[in-house]
Amino acid sequence: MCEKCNTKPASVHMQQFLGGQKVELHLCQDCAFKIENPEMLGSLENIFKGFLDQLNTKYFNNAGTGKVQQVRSTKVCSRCNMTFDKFKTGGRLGCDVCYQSFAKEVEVLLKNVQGSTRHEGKYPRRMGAGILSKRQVSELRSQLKSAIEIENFEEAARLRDEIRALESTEVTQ
Amino acid sequence: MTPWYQEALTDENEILSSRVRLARNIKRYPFRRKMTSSDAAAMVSEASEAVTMAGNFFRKLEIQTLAKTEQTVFLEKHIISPEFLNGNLPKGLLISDDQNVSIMLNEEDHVRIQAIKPGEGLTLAYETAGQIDDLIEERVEFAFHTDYGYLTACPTNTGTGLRASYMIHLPCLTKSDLSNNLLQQITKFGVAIRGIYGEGTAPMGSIYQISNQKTLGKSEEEIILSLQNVTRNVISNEQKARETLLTTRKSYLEDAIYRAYGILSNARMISAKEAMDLLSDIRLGFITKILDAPKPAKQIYQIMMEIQPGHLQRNAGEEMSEQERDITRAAYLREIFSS
Repeated sequence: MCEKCNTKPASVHMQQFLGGQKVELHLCQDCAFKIENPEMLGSLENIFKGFLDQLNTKYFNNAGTGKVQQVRSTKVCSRCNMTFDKFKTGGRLGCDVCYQSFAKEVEVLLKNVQGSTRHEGKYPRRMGAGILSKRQVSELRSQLKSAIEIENFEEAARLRDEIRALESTEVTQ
Repeated sequence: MTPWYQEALTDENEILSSRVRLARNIKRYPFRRKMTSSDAAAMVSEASEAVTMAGNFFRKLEIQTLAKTEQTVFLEKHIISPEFLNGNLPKGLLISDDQNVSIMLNEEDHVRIQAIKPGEGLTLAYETAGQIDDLIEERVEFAFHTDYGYLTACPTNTGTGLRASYMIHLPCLTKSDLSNNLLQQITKFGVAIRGIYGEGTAPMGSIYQISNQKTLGKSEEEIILSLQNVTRNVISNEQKARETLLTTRKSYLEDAIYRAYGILSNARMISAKEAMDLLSDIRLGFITKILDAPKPAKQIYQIMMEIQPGHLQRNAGEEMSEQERDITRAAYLREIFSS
């Protein structure tokens, strides 16, 4: 039976990463379609209020870690006074600083909605070449992390040196 | 320059048009939700100035003072979004002479640059929108985050702020009842699919909008390329469905196409939805060469737009009731098809 609507038989089995947790879902065709197609859910409001909350309650509480990762916060943006609660209900941020004021929450949200937290596209010309080396450093850091995880220390040392070199040129620039 | 919907390229292809939208916000103003009316007015004038300083490509329209039918015409042509007409904050619309490029100021984001091209022209549309983005960016500072990219009011647009989309005609998939199935499958590739007039509207004329869902984590080129790949796949499925219909159900297809022709050249009252579905069959009739009739001077897709309520009322120069529109629509279509 579908875990969302509980009316139609579950025929789609999908895995999603929510807040870093792997979650398995058994859904009917219709509900699966809506999940994979968030625009069909109408707005971000629904993503927050509806299914994600269900998932949060259902899976994150029972994930065995005892850690509840609900997207909840009482934070207020330092620039525009937007509260996180208002954002949750309205689905729209108040200003660019909201991205910092709600940094953790936004990070989780972007992971869920976009599947990524790293921009790979165009950047304003006025930012100059600096952003390229920042992007490179961030890429190398994640390579370094994987190298350490698989205990490839030779590679890790090489990556560390490369990061240092990039960072020092950035400082001199 | 002709508007995209009049260009000849579109009448045989599944792809009717390609559209790109870039969302940007100016750093020194809060997003729309937290804007005061004077913030909004200042932002609109600053952004319009940045665009007009770059060259004399656009004319500025006061969207809020336009007649309701004019607003609807812009909606029907996809030059503006329904969201753009919401709320009372000052807004601006900059539009190129051929109407292929438009800039909405104070839609959900401060600046929404949109470029439309006929047929498969997604890369070109992106280039155009990107150039306008560069021009504006020379004069204003956009909200940008090293990790997250361009910052937008809704996190579903963060990153590239790019929504790339195709308007595609899939009559055979729709007829074979394969569309739902296929459409559900392709959403797995990060693609959203909707009817011609977007969320919450009934699909009409077998026309679908197909667009990227995610805006972060991939470059603009990658987003466009993967949409092109998915779309190519959808089109090859449409062509397969057409072959199947032609080999296994040809009489059914011929009947549907000639009935459509009969109704459109004779009806005295017709709704937009019925007319769109019949025009879809006519278009298919020309593609499959089943329909042996003179081709109208206008593109079928252009006719589809001109029978929408806003276009009908604007051309008549008056507001009309639904019944009056159905009568006018039928007369307009008879004139095209009974000659």
